[in-house]
Amino acid sequence: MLRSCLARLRTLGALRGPRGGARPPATDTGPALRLFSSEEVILKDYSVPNPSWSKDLRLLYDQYMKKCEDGSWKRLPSYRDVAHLDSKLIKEEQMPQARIFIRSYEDGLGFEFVMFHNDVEKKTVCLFQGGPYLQGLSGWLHGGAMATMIDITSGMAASIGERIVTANLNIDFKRPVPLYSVVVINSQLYKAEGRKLFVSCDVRSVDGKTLYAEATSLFVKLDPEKSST
Amino acid sequence: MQLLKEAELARIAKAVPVQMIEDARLFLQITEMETLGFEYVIFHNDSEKKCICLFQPGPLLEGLPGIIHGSALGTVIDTTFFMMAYYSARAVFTGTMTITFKSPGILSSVVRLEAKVTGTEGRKVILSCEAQSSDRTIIFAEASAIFFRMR
Repeated sequence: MLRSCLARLRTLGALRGPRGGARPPATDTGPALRLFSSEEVILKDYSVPNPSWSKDLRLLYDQYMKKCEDGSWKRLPSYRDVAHLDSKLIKEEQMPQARIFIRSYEDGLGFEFVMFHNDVEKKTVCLFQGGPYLQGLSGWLHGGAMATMIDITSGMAASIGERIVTANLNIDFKRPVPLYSVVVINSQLYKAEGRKLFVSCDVRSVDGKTLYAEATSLFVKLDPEKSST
Repeated sequence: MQLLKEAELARIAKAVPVQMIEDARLFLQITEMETLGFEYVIFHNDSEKKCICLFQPGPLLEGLPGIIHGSALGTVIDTTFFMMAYYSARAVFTGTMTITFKSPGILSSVVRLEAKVTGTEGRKVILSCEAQSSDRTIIFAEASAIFFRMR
């Protein structure tokens, strides 16, 4: 099913993510069905403001978009419907990261996030707002949802174009994160040894004063000789 | 849908700050359609101090082609830790969690997770967990965690 998606995508030519909604947004019906229905595959970039974004999230988004103006930071697009792409078809900077379950929610209910990457400093910052469907204990974000965002953000700090897998994830949860709040996840690649990539990360409130979590992780680049399908 | 019964949530609410949010939903219940997301069941054995979780990852949880996304497995590991920590030690919040992924889990094949309490230190409860294939021949991940008991 996903392979036929891939074949269809190849005939569409190079895949470019629309920035800021250049294409009209696809109408969202049920979340999961879209993966399997497919007469047309529309690439919608979900890492742009939508009505569910809180004021805090929008303000931070604007601040980081300003930082992108001199080219040191780049906003990373985030797609849903594209599962596997042949990296030879697409240039490194345009490689969309398929996040299926993370993007399977309607606006505002699940993971609302946008990531910015600084290639020189090897940092990726993620602005994340967790919606009500990410609950663990009443009113708090599920530890696994936080771990998911830490894993993804750290993975983006480790490598954007290349395929990597998480080998080790070590998270120190300091304080629970309330649902609907906005957090800033800062991740930094601090060491690269052969195929191993070491990333450190922290999760803070918007004003920087509350530390919600600290994490370190290890990613491994996949051997490019081996086929991964 | 919650992981715990109403009476238990009420007991937790007395010890730990919680707020009822309208329309909130447990993270694990990511879709109303069956078999696409997290399909799991957790068993707890009080005398052996063990929790076993049987987890069948649906196609929504894909990371690399045909493989479970690491943090989807991480979420189930965290949930299994939670059940172990809550039922054996009245601990509810994850303090630390460390996961080492050993080999990739295949989508739609069953993962068997086993968590146990390995020690306590004051309010800290120390746990370990292994995620294996259903015949226990392949180890997908090993994890350890520290949870904090409620006051």
